[in-house]
Amino acid sequence: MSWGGGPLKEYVDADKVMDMTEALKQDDWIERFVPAGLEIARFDENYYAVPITGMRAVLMFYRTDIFEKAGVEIPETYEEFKDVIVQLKDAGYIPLSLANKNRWTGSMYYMYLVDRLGGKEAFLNAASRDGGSFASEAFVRAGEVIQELVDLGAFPPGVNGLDEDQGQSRQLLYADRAAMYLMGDWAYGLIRNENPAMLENFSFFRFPVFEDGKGDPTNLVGSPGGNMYSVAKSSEHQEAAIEFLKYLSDETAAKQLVELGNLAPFRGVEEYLDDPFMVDIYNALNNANYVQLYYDQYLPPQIAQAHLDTIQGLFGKTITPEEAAEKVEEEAQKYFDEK
Amino acid sequence: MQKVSKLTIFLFLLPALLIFSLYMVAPIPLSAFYSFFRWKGFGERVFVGLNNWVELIGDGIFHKALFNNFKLVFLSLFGQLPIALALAILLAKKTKTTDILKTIYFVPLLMSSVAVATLWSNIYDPNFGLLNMFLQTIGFENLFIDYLGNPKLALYSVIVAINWRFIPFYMILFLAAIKNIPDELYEASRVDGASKWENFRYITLPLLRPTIINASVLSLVGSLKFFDIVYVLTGGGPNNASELMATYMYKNAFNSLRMGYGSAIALALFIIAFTFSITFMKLTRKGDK
Repeated sequence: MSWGGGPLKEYVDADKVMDMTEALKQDDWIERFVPAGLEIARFDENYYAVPITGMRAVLMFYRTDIFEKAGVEIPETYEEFKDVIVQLKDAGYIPLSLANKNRWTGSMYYMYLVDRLGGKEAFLNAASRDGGSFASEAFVRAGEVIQELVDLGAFPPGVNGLDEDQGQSRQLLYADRAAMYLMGDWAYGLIRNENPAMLENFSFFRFPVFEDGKGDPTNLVGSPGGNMYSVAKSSEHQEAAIEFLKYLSDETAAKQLVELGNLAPFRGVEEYLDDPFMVDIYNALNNANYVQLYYDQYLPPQIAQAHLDTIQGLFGKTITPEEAAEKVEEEAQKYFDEK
Repeated sequence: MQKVSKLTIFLFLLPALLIFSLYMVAPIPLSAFYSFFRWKGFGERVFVGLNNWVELIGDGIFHKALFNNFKLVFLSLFGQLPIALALAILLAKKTKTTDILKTIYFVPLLMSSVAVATLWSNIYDPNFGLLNMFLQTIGFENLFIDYLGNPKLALYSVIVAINWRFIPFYMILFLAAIKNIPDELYEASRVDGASKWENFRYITLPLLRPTIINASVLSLVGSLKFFDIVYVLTGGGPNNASELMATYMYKNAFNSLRMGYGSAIALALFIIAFTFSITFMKLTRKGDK
């Protein structure tokens, strides 16, 4: 099981996973899945995994009541976003809740900023080595913007020590201390369990754009499908495994996933959606022109780690934006030279 | 007593020996072998000669991790052991209170490492954690300590948690050794008019010497190969500030899929821990003569 992308590619290159293209074409099983979900498991013309759980979008969640109290509106551009942060700060709130011990949490800001500044091509070209570089302008500026936000006091004190796995970021929302929270839509499912009362004053907005940025404002960071199941090439029971995966992707499974707050990556899943919040998330995903898969899942593990390592340095200001970008680029060059 | 044949002894030891060889001994030469390759842990192995070792020697993060390990060794030897010894001496007298205290002090050792780490992560939570809340309640309202997020503080915060967990272990060790000291010795010294301090200095401490040496070796090796609480509390962060050799090895081998480089780190860790414990034991044994 993987999330597609770079890590799955490592197994494909090592010839460890079964080519599922034949099985998918049989009985039109392929039609069951949302195409974008299968796309991250496709290398050349062949598919090596199927998505079993949700499409995910990283969204900027916010407390509507706190916005009202502080008299601020949803920002559309980065300049407006900064104004909102300053005003929230003046009103005594932590503008952006974040727990960055885990590093992939802070990475979400970085990925959105790179997309909004340099467009999806900035990352895609760097990752495919088609004349792009992780040290190019968009990556350096993304780091600069993060440090500008740090200087504004946008993040909670002690941000690099807070643990997302223990919900230390959400606790700040629950305690009325923080106003915004950039997180995958699974946060909605978690909050529904932990503190459903807060959902009355809870919504999300699009990540702001830069006036000189190249990114499409509908672009999302996220994953078109999670928990990608592959079948081992060495398995003697490949048929049984396929049978099992068909069972995991049938109507009942889809219904139950949706009930759990998970947008199953199967066609027609919108029919089961009755929760308006989930419908909004579904629409955001549906309207997105491009969904940027998380860097740490898209990239080969070695480069992904270099990226994650620099993230804490950026938020803690122990590394400059240039150094951070340079470090990832160096690791990328090392990786591709060895190939 | 019936004499047991050597074969019987061998047969009884065999299962343990097999498991020990398979999981403890065999991986050492294997890691040495892997450290000469570029390998993902699966798929093709590419021979790269000494490349991993050259990289390791010049790797700033590894240096930092090694230095952090030494800090941990130092603070364990001179933090854990004296406190454990003091507690053991206090608890050696058998009263109702010491019985209860013994049980309470023993609790940290009964919890799993991950539970201990999670507990401390809640204590350290800068916004809602026990420590900062307590400091604020007793008047330091503007004091805000970022225990795990501040790169200068993170390692020490982690070491406090580690010490808290392992003090009971050494306490029990010392307690058992103190209980083994015959009462007659103290009676005799009392007749000679020795003070409490002299009792401790000339009877308890010398007789505890072998136990203290054993405890020191355990603590030394344990600190050099330490992993779990650090991994859960900070993950070696922020930005490698609390990285240890073992966490760095794990990250390379299993997160970056650089099994060859990870093996080189593992073997370096083994060589360092082995050298230190052998030297330490040699030095202390010399003193025995």
